[in-house]
Amino acid sequence: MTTALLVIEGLCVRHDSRDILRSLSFEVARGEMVALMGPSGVGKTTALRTVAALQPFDAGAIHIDGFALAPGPVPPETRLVPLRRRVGFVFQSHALFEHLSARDNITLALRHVLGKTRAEADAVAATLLASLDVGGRAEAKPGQLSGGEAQRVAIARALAPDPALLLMDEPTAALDPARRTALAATLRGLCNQGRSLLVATHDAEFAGQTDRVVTLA
Amino acid sequence: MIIRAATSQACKLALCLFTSLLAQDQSARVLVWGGDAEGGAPYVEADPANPARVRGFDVEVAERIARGLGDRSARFVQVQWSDIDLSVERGDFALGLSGVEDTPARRAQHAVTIPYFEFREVLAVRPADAGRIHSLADLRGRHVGTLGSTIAYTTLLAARDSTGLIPISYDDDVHPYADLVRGRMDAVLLDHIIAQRALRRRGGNGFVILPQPIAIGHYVGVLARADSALRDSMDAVLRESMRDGSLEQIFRRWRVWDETQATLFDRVLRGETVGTTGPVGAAQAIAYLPSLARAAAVTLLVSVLSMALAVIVGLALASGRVYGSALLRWLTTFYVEVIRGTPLLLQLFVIYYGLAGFVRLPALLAAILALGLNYAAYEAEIYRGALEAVPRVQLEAARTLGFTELQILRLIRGPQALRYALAPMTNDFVALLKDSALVSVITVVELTKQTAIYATNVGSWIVPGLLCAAVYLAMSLPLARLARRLERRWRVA
Repeated sequence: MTTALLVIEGLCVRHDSRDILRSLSFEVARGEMVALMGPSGVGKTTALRTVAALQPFDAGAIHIDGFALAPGPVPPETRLVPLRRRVGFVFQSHALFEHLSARDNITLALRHVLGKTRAEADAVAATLLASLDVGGRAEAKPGQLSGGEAQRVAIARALAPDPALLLMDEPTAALDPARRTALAATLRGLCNQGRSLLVATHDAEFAGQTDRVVTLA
Repeated sequence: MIIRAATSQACKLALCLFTSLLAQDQSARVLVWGGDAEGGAPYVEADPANPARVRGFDVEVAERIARGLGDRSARFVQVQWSDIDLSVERGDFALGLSGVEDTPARRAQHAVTIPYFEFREVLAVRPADAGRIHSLADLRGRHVGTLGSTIAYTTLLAARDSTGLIPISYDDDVHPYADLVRGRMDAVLLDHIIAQRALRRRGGNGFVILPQPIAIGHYVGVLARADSALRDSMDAVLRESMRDGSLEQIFRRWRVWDETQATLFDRVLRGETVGTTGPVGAAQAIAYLPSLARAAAVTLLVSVLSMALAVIVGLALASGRVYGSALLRWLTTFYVEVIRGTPLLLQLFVIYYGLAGFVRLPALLAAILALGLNYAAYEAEIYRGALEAVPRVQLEAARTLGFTELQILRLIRGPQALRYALAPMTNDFVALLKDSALVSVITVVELTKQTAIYATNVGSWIVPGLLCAAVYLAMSLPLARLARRLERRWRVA
């Protein structure tokens, strides 16, 4: 039996005395790609943000590869270092650093958080960009990238620190059908390398290509 | 033909008669004269019994002249002392009289009466220094205060190169003595009447007046250049009042009579030329250029250092407002609102004069502090806005990548905020460059003040004004260009 990388038990998130998530429980195994589905506003993004410790939760528990998040306020960043090493996040709007080139978006954390040299970081960035088919756009600023290119640079940035779990928020929202298929293949490749993926989406066709679908209602 | 010519001549004559009658009618009863009541007694001051009236020896001299011109009364017009020449030339009044000094430039630009009072430029020093300081030569490296745009200031400027003293120009004649007593000035050079009055106000304490005069000068009346005929009539009245003792009585009443006045009257009545000679016109204009260059350097120095302070304090304030606790946010907001809501001029006075009881800041430092702390409030708002303009999702992305808050500020939020802040910052620096003119109220002679002194001395604003504008533009235009280039380079395509 494969051990679960992510375990969510009885997760409750309230906001302005409204239940956004009520007693959500599910697991994601190592190397598994799970789609989190449901209509808009059901709390898909909230679930991802809670796992990434970007917002607090009111009840339940989250375990990520041995690291536990408890209900209550988000802990200070110094206590979240093990979590940050394990979890990568690709935002729906990509959230690339607009003053930096595609390459520097990827190398910044490698150099300043993981302490790699510029040469080491540049090598990682070049490999990732090439594997995601945007090797030629390394020097481009985010404003010069198309939506699809920006998304792949954002994926490369999240993958650069080599996280065990990648969280993705609506990755197909801005893609045409051909690009969706290509993205699914790319993500499958990541899983084959042993990485786990939790993807929030309302795209049923894309969800059909994942290992498992968790539906929020 | 002859008849037509005669009619035309008659018309012209009638018009002439009519206009001269009109002029006489206007001027027959009233002599309008201008002076500065802020200069105070014994020259011109508001009458304590009836503040709507003025009194002083210059008031009585004006009244004596008016009477001598034929039973006229004198009507006083208030004017800033340094603007008397410009106002009289504009026609605001016929005669300027308020401790107006006889200078070569004034004689060259305007119609000037004969001298009616002789004053001595005297040095005032603290009692402890009275044994050591006897002349300007003993003031090397020391601060010597005086009123700007006066013979005393010109004397100090001339002595700066030969003796190494540091001339400090004031806008009024009260603060130099206050600063002398406080220790900010080492000496004050001004007319003996002003020095004696300042000493009386302090009950004879705080400083002493050195007996040996540094220079001799004379008070005159000033008229518009075109009014030389009226000036000649006034000269005749002044001579008459010297002869009949009425001028002596006025001076005795105001306790400014001494033997030197008797000697002056003798010399004037003998027809001797009493006056000052010196460079005028182009030579004088050129003589001011080094001072103007020095003042431009002061403006640049004050502006650059103030802006540096404003940026540093502004960043700290903005960080407090964006990242701080509720208390810190309240405190920084309070600072920003108080500083933005009160005049810079008031802040300058408070820092320089108001704090003088606790800490005696040098004028230049006080100027930089006041401007820097004032602009910091504006910078803080720019930086706060710029920091908040960086999309929140980028900051969250940075957190998921493991950056600390400080790293996020330094590597992601700060650099992007700087781009947003660049244009308003450039704008602020150009504004500061011009606002630095305000620091002249606390004795820092910067470009605008030096230009005003220059303009007063040459009697025209045209050349000094154009020069001054050119220097300001030479400082601000390259900055605007640099900012535009940076903005272009940083622009996200």
